[in-house]
Amino acid sequence: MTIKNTLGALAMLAMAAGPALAQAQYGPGASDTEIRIGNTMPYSGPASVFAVNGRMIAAVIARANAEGGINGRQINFISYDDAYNPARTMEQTRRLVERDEVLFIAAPVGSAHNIAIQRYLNQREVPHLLLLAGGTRWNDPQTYPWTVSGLLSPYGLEGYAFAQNAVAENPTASIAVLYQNDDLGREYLEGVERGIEGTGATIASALSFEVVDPSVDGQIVSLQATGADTLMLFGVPRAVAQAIRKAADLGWTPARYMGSVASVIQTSLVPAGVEISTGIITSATQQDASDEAFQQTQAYRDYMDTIEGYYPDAEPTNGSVISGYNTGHVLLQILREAGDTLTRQNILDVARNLSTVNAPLMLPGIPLATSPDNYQMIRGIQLERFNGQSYDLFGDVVEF
Amino acid sequence: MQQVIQLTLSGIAIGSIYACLAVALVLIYKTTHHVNFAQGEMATFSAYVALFAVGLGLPLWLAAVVAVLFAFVSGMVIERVVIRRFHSASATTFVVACIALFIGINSLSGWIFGHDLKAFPSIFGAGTSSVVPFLSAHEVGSIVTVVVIAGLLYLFLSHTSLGLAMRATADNPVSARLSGVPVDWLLTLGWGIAAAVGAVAALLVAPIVFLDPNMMIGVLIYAFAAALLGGLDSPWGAIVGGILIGVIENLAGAYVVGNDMKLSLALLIIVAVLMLLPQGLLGRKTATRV
Repeated sequence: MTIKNTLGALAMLAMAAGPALAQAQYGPGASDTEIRIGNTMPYSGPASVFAVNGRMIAAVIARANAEGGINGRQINFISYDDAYNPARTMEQTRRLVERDEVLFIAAPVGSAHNIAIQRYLNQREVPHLLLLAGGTRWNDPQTYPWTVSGLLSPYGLEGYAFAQNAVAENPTASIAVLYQNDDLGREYLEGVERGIEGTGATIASALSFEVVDPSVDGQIVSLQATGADTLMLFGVPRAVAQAIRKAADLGWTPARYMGSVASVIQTSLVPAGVEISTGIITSATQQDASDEAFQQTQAYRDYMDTIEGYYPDAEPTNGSVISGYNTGHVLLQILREAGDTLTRQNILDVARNLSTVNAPLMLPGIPLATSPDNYQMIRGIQLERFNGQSYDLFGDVVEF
Repeated sequence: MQQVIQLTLSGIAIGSIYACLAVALVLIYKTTHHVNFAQGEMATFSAYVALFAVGLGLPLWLAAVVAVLFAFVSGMVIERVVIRRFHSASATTFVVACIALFIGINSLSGWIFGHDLKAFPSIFGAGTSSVVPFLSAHEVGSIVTVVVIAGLLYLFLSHTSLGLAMRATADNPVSARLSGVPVDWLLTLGWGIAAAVGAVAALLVAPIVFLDPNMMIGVLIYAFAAALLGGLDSPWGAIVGGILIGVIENLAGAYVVGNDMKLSLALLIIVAVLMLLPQGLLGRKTATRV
């Protein structure tokens, strides 16, 4: 009997003897005492408003560490600034993988930024999980088996749900679309196009804008001139807020929809003016922390405890803080379920086989799961309407 | 037809704000022959100061005055502390110094005031204007403000001895210094005035585009195009250029090149003016004996 066979037999014996004797298996970045996880965040630069996601994930992890860690191991969450520059995201990700030797990469922010690192991480077979970027492109198990989507709703499916709602309200809706001239905006637009296929509704006009454009007034004037009765706004909060205000200034009162990327009341609707914003429809997947009924729940109390103990500067109603909290909890769930087999392969296997997802601040009824042939974690959205102060949910969860 | 009128009027309104920032750029170019790339960020910071003052309970007009005074003083301080050291440096060095200021002030705004989008009230009140159809009260107010600023600058530069001394400094610093003009102080003053005009631009633009640390980045590109089109050494040219750019941007975006290419159009104008008409519409042709 060769040594190799002996070892194999011993390993089988150990497995047969049950978990008490099982040997822990470690990939890069994991040991008996520590698990290293890598992350990039726009702590500086134009999108630094999203960086609270990273701070909140760090708070969730800090709390888990203080409570004894996961399966006895402390989590070392290494998060670098990429200044919202895809080239920097790539540079920092290489640093995380090659120098810090993290077990996997979790929750990088931004579409272009995740595209920049996707090929590299897949080539090196490093799990690329819980992306803070919406879009259906993160569900491509054939081409990119190591990239599994996160908790942000896919823009295209959101556009699809808006279009269907618009048709239900008005079978011959004439839709004007203002969209951001990039992946995000175009995916929303494609969703709307799919949503009205085979119905009496039409797209009267779809105009784009650049993120750096100081004003979208011109586009709104042109859109109004088409005589459309429905207006859909897909882009950053600044442009959406301007569009809402300009349409109101022009005395134009179409049915209005806006992408969830701009749905934070404080950053879009308050600048635009809450009165003129009343009635606008968007979609939600997360709880609203300003909702009084929700504030009575245990989930809310746990959330506030984490904020008070580990990130007291956080604004509890900020959607990015909430998504950071949810993402942090799914991260802990993956580590917990991976048990003592902390290899990259096992982390991926756990992440793509989640039959339930522990994201405490998602809306009840939003279907969440992953499977090896469908990496889309979020599988339904809820439509909601702004009432002047907060959002009222309406209708059933739209499943995809 | 109504759409054309609307697009033109809203172009004039946004153009008058480009014009305001362009005037600030021109004032600095006139005295130093350099372009201040940090002009927009300095202005944004002043708008934050105004919002902070409103938060302290000051009425809006007083907060605006405070912000403009703050800009005036901080513009002079920046010139004294930073820019002074680069006056005789090469153009490249100066540009690098300006970019450093740009990034530094941008980060400072975000660090102190946060990166969230903030609503910014208009001094001219909300709602549509009763004077001009299709325009909001704020848009009409912006146009009037820019015309008033242009008038005041004209009076200052051509009818006061201080203004005369500033023009002398710009035209021939050596000769001005020999005639007893305090050239160093006038350069400092020039930066102060430019920063104050920039702050006014920020106060006008913030109610339209909303306040965040990157508010001025897009505006600055159009303001450059405006300043170049009008002539980099002519404050009047900057105003004409700004309004032209605003109108061209709106009309061409709607009817000619499409909205995707609006920003590219501004950049194209910059290149075209530099190649075909380097002195701009109202600028003075200069020749240097070599």
